[in-house]
Amino acid sequence: MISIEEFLAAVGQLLNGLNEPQERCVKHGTDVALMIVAGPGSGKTRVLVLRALRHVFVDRMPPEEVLITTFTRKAAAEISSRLIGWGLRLAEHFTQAAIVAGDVGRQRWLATLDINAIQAGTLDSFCQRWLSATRQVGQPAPVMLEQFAADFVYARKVFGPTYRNGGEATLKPYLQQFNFGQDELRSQGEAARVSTTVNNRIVQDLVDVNALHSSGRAQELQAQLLQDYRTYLQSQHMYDFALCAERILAGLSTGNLYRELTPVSAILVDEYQDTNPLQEAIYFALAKVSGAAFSVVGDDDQALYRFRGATVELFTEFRSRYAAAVRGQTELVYLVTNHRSSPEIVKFFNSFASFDPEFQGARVAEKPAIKDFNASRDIPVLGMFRDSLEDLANDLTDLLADVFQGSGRHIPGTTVLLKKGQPNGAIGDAVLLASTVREFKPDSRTGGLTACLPSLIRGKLEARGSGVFNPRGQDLRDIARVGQLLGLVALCLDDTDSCEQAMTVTGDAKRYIAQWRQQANQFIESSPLPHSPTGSLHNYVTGWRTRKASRGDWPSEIPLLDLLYKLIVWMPDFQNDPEHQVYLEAIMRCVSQGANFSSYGFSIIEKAPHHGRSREAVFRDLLAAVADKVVDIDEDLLFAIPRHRLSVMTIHQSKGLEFPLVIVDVGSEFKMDHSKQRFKRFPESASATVEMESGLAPFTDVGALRTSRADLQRTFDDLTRLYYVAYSRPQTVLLLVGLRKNIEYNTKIKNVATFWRRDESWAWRKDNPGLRRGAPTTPENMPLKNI
Amino acid sequence: MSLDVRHEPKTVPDYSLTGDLLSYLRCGLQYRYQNGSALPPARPVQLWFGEFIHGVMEMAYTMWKERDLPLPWPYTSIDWANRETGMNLPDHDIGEIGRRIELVLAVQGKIARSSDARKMAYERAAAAVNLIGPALFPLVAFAEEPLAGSRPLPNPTNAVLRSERYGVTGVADVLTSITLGTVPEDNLIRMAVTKALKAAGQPIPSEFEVIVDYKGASRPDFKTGKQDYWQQHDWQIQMYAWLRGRKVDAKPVVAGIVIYVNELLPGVADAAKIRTQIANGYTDIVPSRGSADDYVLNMARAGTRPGGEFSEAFRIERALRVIPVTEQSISQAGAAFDDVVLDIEQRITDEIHCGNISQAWKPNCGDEETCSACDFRYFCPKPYGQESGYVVHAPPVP
Repeated sequence: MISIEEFLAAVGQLLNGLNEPQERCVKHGTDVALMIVAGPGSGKTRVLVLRALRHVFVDRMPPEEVLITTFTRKAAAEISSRLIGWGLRLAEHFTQAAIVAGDVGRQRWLATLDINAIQAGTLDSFCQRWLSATRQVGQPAPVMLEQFAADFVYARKVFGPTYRNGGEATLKPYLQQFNFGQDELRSQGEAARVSTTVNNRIVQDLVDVNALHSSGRAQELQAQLLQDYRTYLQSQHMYDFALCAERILAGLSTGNLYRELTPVSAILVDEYQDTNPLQEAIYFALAKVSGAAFSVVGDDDQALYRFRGATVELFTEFRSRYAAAVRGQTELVYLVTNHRSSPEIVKFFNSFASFDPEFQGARVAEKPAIKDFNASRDIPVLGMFRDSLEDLANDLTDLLADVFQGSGRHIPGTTVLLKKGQPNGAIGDAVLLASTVREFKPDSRTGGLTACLPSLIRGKLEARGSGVFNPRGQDLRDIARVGQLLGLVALCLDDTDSCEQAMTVTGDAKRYIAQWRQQANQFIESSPLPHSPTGSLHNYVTGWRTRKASRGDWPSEIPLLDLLYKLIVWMPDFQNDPEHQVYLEAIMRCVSQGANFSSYGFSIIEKAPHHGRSREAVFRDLLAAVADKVVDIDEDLLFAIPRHRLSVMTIHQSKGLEFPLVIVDVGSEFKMDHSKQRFKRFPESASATVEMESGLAPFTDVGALRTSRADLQRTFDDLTRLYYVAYSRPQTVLLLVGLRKNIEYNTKIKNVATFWRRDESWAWRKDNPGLRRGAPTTPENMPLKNI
Repeated sequence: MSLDVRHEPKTVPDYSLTGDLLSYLRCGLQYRYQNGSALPPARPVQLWFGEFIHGVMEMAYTMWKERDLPLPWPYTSIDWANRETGMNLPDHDIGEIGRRIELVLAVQGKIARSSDARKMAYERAAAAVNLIGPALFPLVAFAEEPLAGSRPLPNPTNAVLRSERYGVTGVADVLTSITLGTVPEDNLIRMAVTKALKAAGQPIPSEFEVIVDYKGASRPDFKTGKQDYWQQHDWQIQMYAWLRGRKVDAKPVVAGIVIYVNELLPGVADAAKIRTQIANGYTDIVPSRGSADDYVLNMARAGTRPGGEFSEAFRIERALRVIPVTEQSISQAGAAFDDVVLDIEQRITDEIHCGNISQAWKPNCGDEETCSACDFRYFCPKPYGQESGYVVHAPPVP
């Protein structure tokens, strides 16, 4: 036996030890479930990993029976890496000790331990694995559909026919209330997208479908669509993640499934604040049937995924819910010592979590404030606010250039000279965070596009030999090279140049395809390399349009992928640039998954009548899909964040990350108190997600718990949590940026990010409402050093 | 005041033996596009055949184990037109088993290259079940057994890398457990293993395990010094043996068997390939001069169907390759894979720093077949057989 004391001593010796609450978490036994509320930078992953290793070394659980789940594949990979790295060091340490002590039994046992067998993954990945275990003899392995392919199957095979054949009148008003901003649904595609979201919520919230079905005509139709969709998937041996998880829950609840699985001795759940009711039910069912030790880690203040079905109340109420469902006891430990940020930054985000009394009711009761640990470097939280976006972009770029390319930047009024770290400091040490990272937005005046902050910075940094890394900065459809590539496809497949006009596709699709054609034609005119008398892009596209092969007859069938791979011969960005590879992969993934939803599986057939139809399928299922923003990129493909570009990320993307310098955009797009922007900073009505939660609340057990806070309160809570996450990312420097209007003493621009309370008072201002006369220019209590 | 320097956390990246390491050895640039960026192949033909064979063998084994139906099983050819509905054949008809696997592959976009290729795949699957199954299935201890482990990554030049260790994963198609006292002496797997071990001068324990791997390919050239699939398959088996040997319940792994399924029913092209191998001294299994197999081999021409004319014994001998496993052979293979991973990790570091894929990853395909089937050949800066100074030119229409 290795005692817990020996284990902790080894951790202290090899891995820098633990603070008192961290040690309590690792020491905690296996009989009582453990709830860890872990603030930002408090070492939750460290504790989770060491607790899993404790189960192996101290509790002698077989490694393959210890299971850790987390929220993303990337986080799971990080946990696995730490498990293996630390686990092997500990195993080696204990082996050496056993040799010295002459304990042969322990040596033998340690030699057989396979630390790699501890299982870390997303719950979806475990469900997928378990589903395979339920396969009957003679049944082929189940096929898991990627989310976008599943959405496509639903939209094309199930929703479309119902909507077109009389369902629109009933479904449209029902779905519209759940659309972003409650905007009108302009197309069948938009309606299908909202309907898919409702379906996901029905499954994730464990909605009583029968009760929903009988609550109204629209609800009946929606429930029927979900049923039809599942029937279709099953007929094709296909699963989406929701259906797979639901199957697993059913199997665990009846007790049949568990017998087929590797036993589970310990379950450790990371990011529990982002769990949904279906996932909670799976965890509880598994805990019940296995009797496994159960630990959860999370932070209600960092719950960001309500829009994906996450229900923070499952975390805040974990102890009572676990007691009711599993009939077990629980213990609560707070991790509050922040090892990431400077004391100035910790103070800032602590005050952000507490400035609005109305937010306190949404938090775990009696939650202590986060404590700083690191030494101060005397750098205050900084602010950079300018009159125009152009000035802001210029000055921000100058600052970055001074810090990362020059000799540093002195912070006025302080003794601080800010400069890059040594050795190997680079602009990749900084990040720009914003609620949205779009590089362009529609300009209602001109009908064109206006550049946003990331785009302006991109241009200015590129001029200085650096750049921006922002793969989500533009929709795929707006990326110049993507437009050219898809335009070339359109030119090759349709010599009438108008194929989409007669098709049932959205207005956006028609507009974009026409625009891409233009871009492609301009690109051809630029005579890109390789270009010679015998071969050029012009000749190649002409060959396709006239169907004259370079050699022999025109083939009877050509995979679309083949055409795409040939076209990128003229587009080196797709060959060499990691950011463009991410775009290319999204397009190629859509094509390769096409076998599931596109009638010709993206093959171009020569023989009539398939000649025209197979080409139209490309327009409908690829070009229109990109134009309608159905296809999304997968950033997990990147090996790492590039070192020589400024990363631009949404706050959601930044979760779990830390950077030496974090720039948070709190108001670069707020020039005035425009009603259309209020939802981004100071909402007047409930968000669409909250509306959907409330709409389904009567039909789900979690409904009452969730709606115990009013719709608008929950919408505000989400916004507060978003900026709490942003403000707790930096290690050394936090810089808030925006337009000057946002911080004027008597500004009309109310913004949660700048500490406006829900009662419309401003925490930075001494008097509320503000003084009419003799007012200062900026609020008295603004905790920023403006530069 | 200097900022800190951001460090990505050290990772233990997972490398699959077949999907990553063997793929990187085929071509570095192709590996980057296919494995790094997940760009799919335009014509996943090879993928289809390999997965079809694996699927059929796995389903056949499961059915054999659960239902105890004696082999050989019937094989009825099912036309393409009937693939959706089937022909009401019994579950264990190999045509029906293949049909079910084919449907699932089709859902994933994996389809046979042609109706001839499809027919050949079915016939080869039937040969694999009926020729190998009777000897193999009774020995199976685990099918589709996932294997995983991790190794320290040697870094002799102290390069800045994201990893100090790497994970190795693989799936053994079959793990057989052989107890000499209970397995009949004429079991062809037992016979092949004991013969090879004796030839290698290796002791044979009374109880041992053998790892079996199916390859949807023909027996490769050996000792060519070029694109060395022979060597790579050996390394793969050694690494599987290493991974398996670390399990608590493992018995000694003394050998691996690679089953080259194409050899169970060779086509005309396969026969031609065997002739070339023999002429160049690139193969170890040759028919004796003047034997019936020698006649078939040398008279197989376009329009003939040599497969079934070869003797079963010759086909099985060509299909089975026994690879003895020793501590030394495992250690050599491990060192070889460490070098490959180190090379990949260095490329990844280069890419993070230079931000340019083709500067960081080099095309090094030494195999004409792989290169000509590669989707990236049109813009590859150095396709197979081209000298340096090659300039990319416009691809042919279409």
